[in-house]
Amino acid sequence: MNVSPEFIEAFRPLGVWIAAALTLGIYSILWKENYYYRVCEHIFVGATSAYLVVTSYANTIKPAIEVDMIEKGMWWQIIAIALGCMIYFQPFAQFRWLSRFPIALWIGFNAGFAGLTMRTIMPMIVSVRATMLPLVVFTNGTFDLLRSFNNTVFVLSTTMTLLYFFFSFEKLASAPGVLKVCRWVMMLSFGVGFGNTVMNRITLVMGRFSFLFSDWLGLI
Amino acid sequence: MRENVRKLLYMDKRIVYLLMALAIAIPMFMPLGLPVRIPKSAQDFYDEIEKLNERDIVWIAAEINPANQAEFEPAIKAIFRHCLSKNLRIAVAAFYPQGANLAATWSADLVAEFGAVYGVDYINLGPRPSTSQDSIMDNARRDIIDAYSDRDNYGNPLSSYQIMADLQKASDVSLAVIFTQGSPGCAEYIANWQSTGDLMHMITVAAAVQIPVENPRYQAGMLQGMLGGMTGGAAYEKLIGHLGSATKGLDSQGLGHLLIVVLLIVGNACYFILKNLDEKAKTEAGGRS
Repeated sequence: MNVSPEFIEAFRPLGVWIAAALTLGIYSILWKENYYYRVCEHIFVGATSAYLVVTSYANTIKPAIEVDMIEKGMWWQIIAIALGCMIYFQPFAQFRWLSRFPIALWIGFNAGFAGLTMRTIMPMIVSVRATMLPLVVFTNGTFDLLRSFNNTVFVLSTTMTLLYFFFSFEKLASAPGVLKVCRWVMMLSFGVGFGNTVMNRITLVMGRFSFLFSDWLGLI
Repeated sequence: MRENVRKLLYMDKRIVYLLMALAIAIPMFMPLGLPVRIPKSAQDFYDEIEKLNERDIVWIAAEINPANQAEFEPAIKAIFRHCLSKNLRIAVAAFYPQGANLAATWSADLVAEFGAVYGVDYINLGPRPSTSQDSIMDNARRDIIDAYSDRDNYGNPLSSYQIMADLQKASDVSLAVIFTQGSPGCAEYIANWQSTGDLMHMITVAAAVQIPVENPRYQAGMLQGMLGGMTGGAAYEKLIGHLGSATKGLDSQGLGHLLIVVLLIVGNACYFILKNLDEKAKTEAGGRS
């Protein structure tokens, strides 16, 4: 479904006010649990689901029927549609067995598609190859201390992390200090992940603040 | 003193929220002008686009949603500006339901500024459900029009557009720019297009939360460049010489981070001081009895 730009422009102020009210409603949970937040949360979930349904119909199902089945005559695609519909028998105990066919087909297809090709193996090989770095690096004939240090840390960290999950030789992993170092290496990488997550969350808030101060209130 | 330290350690979390809101909001009104550093990954990202020839096709995988607007909008705008100024052609596709429309909305001003013609200079293939990403990408390796059922984002026949004459299959794309915040993202493009040898050149714009996942792929050479979060967006804006909202947002981000670091230090200091005071009190009580 296409909406004309003129229509969108005419209703923009109303849209901005609704968006601002919903944003404030969602943030009201920071003060305490309240009905306003619950209403906004339900609107959010409902609107997202509705958007997904409309998009799926307009961009996938409709072209598949109009173009593939009617124009190109690929009528057999009706089998795929029928299989897809069978998944909706899940909630009905009496007919639940019907929903198992599309699920089995779907899992089988994905397992075969991923397992029988180089698609999953190739990235792994490239990743493993990238960990095999020289510990002593020469750049233009001179010893590169920084890159050598980086590579050493990289190789040691990879080895330590793998060692932590290597249970074949119990004595190796339980040697004094080894497990501790392995754990430290992993804790450091979790710290990096946590820092990046915080950065992401701050950015999300900034996006909303920018909307409130700029689009809604026109202060900046 | 013990009571004061305890109060500080267990302060109402709403005070933390308020402080964070202030830390983010104040720089929006009073910019600090923090310097923008250009990391190697951002330079590589820029260089990959610079290497392309006129009229080459750039595939933008807009795996984005509205929540990530602050991170991805500046990058989308900067990439469109860079590509259109170099006379490159752009194809937008997405597996996230809102991705294609968000990319179209955020790039509308730039398309108008450069006078780019839809169907000639750029095209929007629209979103497809992420549940069928592998089959669509596999089909698109050989026939993009067929994979997208000959319909663009607006329901018009893809085959009627001039750009599609040069965009028949994945190998016709010169460079893929993948926006990623999870799955589908780089992993799917690498598995379906790079591992098969159809498209080797891929760069990514990763949400901050996704940086630790994409960085190993960048280091391994699967991705030739990477913009990480808003910081990466700001670096890219500097590289193309057109500062935008990512550069402005860095101040808020910096102050927000500083507040978290301060709170972490204060929290830990209070914890140890309180522990020390409690132990002292216990020893004194034991001595008296």
